[in-house]
Amino acid sequence: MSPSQLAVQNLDMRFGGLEALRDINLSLAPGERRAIIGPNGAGKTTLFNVISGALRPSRGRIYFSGVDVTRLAPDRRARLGLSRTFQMTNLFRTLSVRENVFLALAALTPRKFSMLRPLSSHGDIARAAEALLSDWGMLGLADRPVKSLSYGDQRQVELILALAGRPKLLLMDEPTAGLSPAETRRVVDTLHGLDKSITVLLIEHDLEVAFAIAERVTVLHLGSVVIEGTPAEIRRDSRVQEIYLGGPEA
Amino acid sequence: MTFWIIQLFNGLSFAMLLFLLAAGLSVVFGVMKVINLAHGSFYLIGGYVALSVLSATGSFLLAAAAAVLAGASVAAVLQTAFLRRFYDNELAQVLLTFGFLFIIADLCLVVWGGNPQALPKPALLAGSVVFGEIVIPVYRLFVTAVGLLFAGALWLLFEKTRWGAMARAAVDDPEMCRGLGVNVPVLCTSVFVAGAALAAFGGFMGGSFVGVYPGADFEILLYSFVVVIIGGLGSLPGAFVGSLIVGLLDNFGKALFPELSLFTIFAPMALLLAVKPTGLFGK
Amino acid sequence: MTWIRAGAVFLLLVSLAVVPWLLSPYDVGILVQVMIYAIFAMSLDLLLGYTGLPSLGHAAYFGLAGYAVALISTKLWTGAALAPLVVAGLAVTGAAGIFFALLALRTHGVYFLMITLALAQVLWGIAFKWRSLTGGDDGLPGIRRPELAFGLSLADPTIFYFAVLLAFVLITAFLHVLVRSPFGLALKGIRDSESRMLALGYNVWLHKLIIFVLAALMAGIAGMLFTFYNHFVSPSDLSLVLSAKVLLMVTLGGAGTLYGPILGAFAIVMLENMLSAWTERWLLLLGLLYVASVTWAPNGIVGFLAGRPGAQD
Repeated sequence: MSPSQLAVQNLDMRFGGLEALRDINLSLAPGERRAIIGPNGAGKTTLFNVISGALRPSRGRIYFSGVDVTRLAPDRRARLGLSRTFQMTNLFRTLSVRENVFLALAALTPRKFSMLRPLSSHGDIARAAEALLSDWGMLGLADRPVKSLSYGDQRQVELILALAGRPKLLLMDEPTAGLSPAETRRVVDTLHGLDKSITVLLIEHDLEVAFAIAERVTVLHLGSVVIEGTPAEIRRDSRVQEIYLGGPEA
Repeated sequence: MTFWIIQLFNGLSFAMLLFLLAAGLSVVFGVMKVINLAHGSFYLIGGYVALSVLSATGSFLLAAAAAVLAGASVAAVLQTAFLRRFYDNELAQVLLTFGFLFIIADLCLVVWGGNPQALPKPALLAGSVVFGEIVIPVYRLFVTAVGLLFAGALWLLFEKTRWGAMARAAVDDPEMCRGLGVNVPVLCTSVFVAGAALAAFGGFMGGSFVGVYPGADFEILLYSFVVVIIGGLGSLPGAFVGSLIVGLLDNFGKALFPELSLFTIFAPMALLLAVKPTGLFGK
Repeated sequence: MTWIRAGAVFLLLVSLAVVPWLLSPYDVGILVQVMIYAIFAMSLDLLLGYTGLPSLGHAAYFGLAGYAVALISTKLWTGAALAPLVVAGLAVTGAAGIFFALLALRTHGVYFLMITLALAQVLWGIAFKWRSLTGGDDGLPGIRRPELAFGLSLADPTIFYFAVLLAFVLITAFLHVLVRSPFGLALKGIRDSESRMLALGYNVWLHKLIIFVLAALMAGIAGMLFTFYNHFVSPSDLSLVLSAKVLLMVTLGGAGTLYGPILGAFAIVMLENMLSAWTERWLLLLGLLYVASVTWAPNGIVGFLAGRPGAQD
C-alpha cells in the first residue's frame, strides 16, 4: 500500500443534534489534485475545518504523512506541512502585504521569537518575501495595507501565504469565489503550474474549475460521500446530475 | 449542624440576589454581545433611590417601584444616547460602560454621601423564624422566595413569549435575526433596560442585608462576573447554577475563613477555567 | 530613523536630562509620575494595542510589585540594595503573571476581559482584608528608597529622577525595537487574525503567554518605582480604578502606537494634578473622559494628530 499524504477514516462530525459529516473516508496520494464538490450544506467546509484542526471530529481518524493528527492543534498540523486558504479572506488586514508574507515565511523558523532585531535585519526572510512578491507580480502593492487591496488581490495574497511555507498539502476553500473570469483563469493556471510534489485538496462551487484542476473528484451530499472518480466519470454520473439539478441550485 | 443550616439559608438568599444581577448581565451579553461594566451601578442606583423614597414616603412598594424605574430610565438613556451608536464595536461599548461606571459611582457619592447605608426591613418581614435552635431571618427567606419566583418568571418569559424567542434567537444568530426582520436595536434596548431594572430591583432587595455603599457597585460587578464565568454567558440556567455555587461558597467561606475573603470564589473560578473555559452552560 | 527624528529625540533627551535644574521640585515630581505611568501604559499597550488582549486588571501587577518590595524591604530584608530588591519584586510579579496567564489565556474575548478583572479584584480583596500582612485599607507607609552603589541613594530626589528617567528611556527603547521585530509582528498578526496565525503554524498561546508575562513585569517595574516614589503602597495601587486609568491612558493616547500611551499618560497625570486642586470629583471626570474619548477620538490623540480621528476599520 503506497503511503497516502492524507487519509481520513470513518469521520463523523456532530454539532449537538445535527450530523454534519457521516462516515467520511478519503485518501489522497502525494501530489494528487483532488476536488470536493457538492451543493450548499453538504459539509465541505466542515470537512476542511476538521482536516485543518479547527474542529475536533466526533468520531474517526485523520492521518497526515502517516502521522495521526486527529487530536493535534491547527498550528501543529501547519508545522507538519498542512496549509490552507479560507473561504472568507482571512488576512492580517492592518498589516502591509510584505508584512503578511513575512509572517508566513517566519512561521516555521525560530526567528518568530526574535525580539531585538527589526524585520529588515532578517535579510534572508526579507529577500525571500521580496522574491515571492516579485514572482506573483505584487511588488508594487507590497507596502500597502492589505485591507486597501481589491478583493481579487486579497485572494491572491491568501494564496501566497498558504504557499509560502512550502506545504506538503494545500487545502483551498473555494479559491475562485467572487473572482472575475480573468482572475479565475489566473487561479487555474497557478494551480496547474504548482510544484507537483504539493498535494492539493480543493472545495469548489464552480464545476468547470473543479474539473479543470482535479485528477479525481469527490462528491459530498448531506454530509456523506456519494461518489468518487475522475472528472469524466463524475460528469456522466446520473446521481451527481440529480443532486445538482434536482436539488437546490449549486 | 445549626450553623450549617443557618449558613445554608444565608447562602441561598445571597445566591438568589446574585441571580437577579447575573441573569441581567448574562442576557444582555447574550443578545448585545456587550459586557456591561456598569451593571453593578444599577444595583447602587436601585438601592439608593429606594432608600430615599422610603425615608420620604415610608412605603416599601413605592420604594421598590422607584428603584426599578430609576434603573430602567438611566439604562434607557445610556443605551439610546451612547451604546446604540457603537452597535458593532464591542470594545467601544465596553469602554463606554466603564466610563458610566465611574460617572454613576461619583454622582451617587455626591448625592448620598460616603457612609455605608442599609435599607430598613418592612415590619412584616423583620422578624425571624425559629425552629428549635435554628433562627432564620424572615427577610432572608423572603429574598430566596422572590429570587426563585423571578427565576421562574424569567424562564417563562424566555421560553414562552415572543419577546423571549426573539431574544434567544439573537443570542444564537444575530445575523439571521436581522434578516428575519426583528428590530434588533429595539430588542437590544429592551433587553438592556430589563437587565438594569432587574439589577435595580436587586439593589432594593439587597439593600437591607448586603447594604448600599460606595464600592458596592464594584463588588456586585465582581460577583456577577464570577457567576457568569462559572455559569457561562448568555445562559439563564448557567446564571442560576452559577449564582448558587458562588452564593453558597462565598457565604460558607466568609463564615469559616473570613480573612481569605474573595479567595473562596477564586478557587472554583480557577478550577472551572482549567476544565471548561466557557462556563458550565456556555458555548 | 531619519536625521530629523534622531535629532528631535536627542533634544528631548537632553531637555529631560537638565530638568532637575530647570524645574521646581513639584514639577520634577510630576514628570516622575508621568514617566512611571508611561511605562505602565506602554506595558498595557503591548497587550491591548499590539496583541489584542483586552486586560482590565493590569493594575494587579503594578500593585503586587509595589507590595512585594514594600514587604520585603520592611519585613524580610531591611536595608536591601536596589538590585536584589528589584529582582525579588520582579520574581513575585513574574510568578503571578505566569499563574494568571495560565488561567486567563484559556479564555478569549469577553471572558478574558472578565477574568483579568476578576483576578485583579481578588488580589485587591486580599490586600484590603488581610490587615495583618498588608495593613489593609491603611496600606504600608514608610517605605524607604534603597541605596544604590557608590554611596548614592534614591532618597535624593535628583538621583531618583534620573533612575526613573533611565528606566523610562531603556524600556521605551526596548519596546520600540520589540514592536518592529518579528515577535512584534507576530503579536500584530495575532491581533488581526488568530486563526490565520494558527493556520500558518504559530503557537499563538505561547506568544500570548510571553507577552503577558513581559507586560506584567514591566507594569511591575512601574509599580515598584511608584511605591518608592510615594514611600507608600495601598490597595488603591491594585484597584479597578487604577486599571481603568491606565486603560484610558492607552486608548486616549492611541492603542497600538506605543508613543500614544506616553502622551496619554502625560495628559491624564497633568489633568489629575491640575483638577485635584479644585475638585474631588476626579472619578466623575475620569468617567466623562472615557465617554468623550470613545465618542469623539476612538483612535486617541495619536490618531487625531495623524488626521484619523475616527475608528479605522
